[in-house]
Amino acid sequence: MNDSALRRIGEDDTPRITIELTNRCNLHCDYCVRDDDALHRSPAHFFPLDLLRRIVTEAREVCGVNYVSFTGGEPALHPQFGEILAMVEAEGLQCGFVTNGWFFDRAQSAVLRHRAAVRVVAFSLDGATAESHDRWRGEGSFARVMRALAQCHFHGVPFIVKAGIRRDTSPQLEQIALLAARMGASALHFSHLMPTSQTVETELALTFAERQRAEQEIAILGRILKMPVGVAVGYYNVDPAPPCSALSGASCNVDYRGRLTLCCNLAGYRGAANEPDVIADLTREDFASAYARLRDLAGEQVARRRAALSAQTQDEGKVDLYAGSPCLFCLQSFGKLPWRAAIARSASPAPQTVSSATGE
Amino acid sequence: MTNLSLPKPHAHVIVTDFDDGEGVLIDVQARRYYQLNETALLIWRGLEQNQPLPQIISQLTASYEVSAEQAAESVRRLLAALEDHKLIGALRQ
Repeated sequence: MNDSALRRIGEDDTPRITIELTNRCNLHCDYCVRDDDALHRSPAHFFPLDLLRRIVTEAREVCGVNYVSFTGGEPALHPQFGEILAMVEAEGLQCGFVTNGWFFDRAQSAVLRHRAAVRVVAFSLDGATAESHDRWRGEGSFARVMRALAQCHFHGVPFIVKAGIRRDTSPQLEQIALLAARMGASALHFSHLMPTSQTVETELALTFAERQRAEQEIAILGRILKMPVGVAVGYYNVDPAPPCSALSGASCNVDYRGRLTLCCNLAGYRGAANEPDVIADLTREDFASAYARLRDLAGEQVARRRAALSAQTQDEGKVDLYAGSPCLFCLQSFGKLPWRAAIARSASPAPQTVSSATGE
Repeated sequence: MTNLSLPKPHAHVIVTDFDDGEGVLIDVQARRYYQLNETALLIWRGLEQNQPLPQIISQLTASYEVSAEQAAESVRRLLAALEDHKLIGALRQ
């Protein structure tokens, strides 16, 4: 299997910034990586247009960003979505956004009005059938996203499909790929599950061997189909070079609160104990100084990963998925998986009591 | 023709319409698109709503300059095509 071919999907070298337009989402997918309170209970935050304009302008000057990827929450919920696309177009930038498609009829007119600025729309898909997709996203979700795909296809708006690799979707990889291809997608990006709890990992995540089989099947699909097909998140890659755009310096993330963070997959992670990936509050600090610290953090993380891989190499025959998968390594080392630490603690022998020399 | 019992669209067929009045059927089982012109979309909507044939025909004659016979023939041809592509249930006389 060609690891580098898998790795490169969705990881081009275009300098880009990911911006969470809102914390809110209309759907309740149990496996979602975003903090559940932020998605559904906290007050809604909608990224201010002025702050957005300042950040993308500074990011273009500092690191040559010319592509903005909008995420959330559900970005189409932003009440100024059309104005945001207009701003991107006026600044001579390009953008894309990740959406569940539920509100695409609302976003569509803005997309068509500013089509020159919209490089791609990414639709999330949880299976090749209404039954499998709606199980997670609620009744009617599959029909809505299929309508959105058709609207894009017939209006000439490039779109890609993003699909999770989980216990329930792994038997459907080929069907998902065929559906995406026949609906006119320009690419298909699979992502391994990012575990947010022991229950999620146990019930939904694949074992190492199952992940390898899934990645092999995806590689075959990529060779059969004309559209690019690959694994964008969570792939296994033990090459010590920076494995992704965030660690290579080609991308960064700004969360819905306006904070610069290392990677959109780490931001606002459900159940996280720490946020060392949060660099700066860009409502109070300019992008340039914050970005310099982000580069330092990325460099430190690459070094940490290299050390972990080296340790793994010395322990031949033992596969540590949480070292070999760059995404899992970052989740673990940035304190996003406290439940794993708790499991490790409970599995370790009880620490011996160390008495002081004075006997106190 | 007027005695025709109209079939229902299959559940695996999703319709979406465009601003120009035309539409697209998405057969998610066969993974295929089918374009519908304005009148075909009107007929499809009638099938979705389980409208009787005379009601669909009268909508066609009210919306377009066609006779009832021409409208009925349009419906018949479309139904045959839809059935042929397994987008609706079987036609019954």
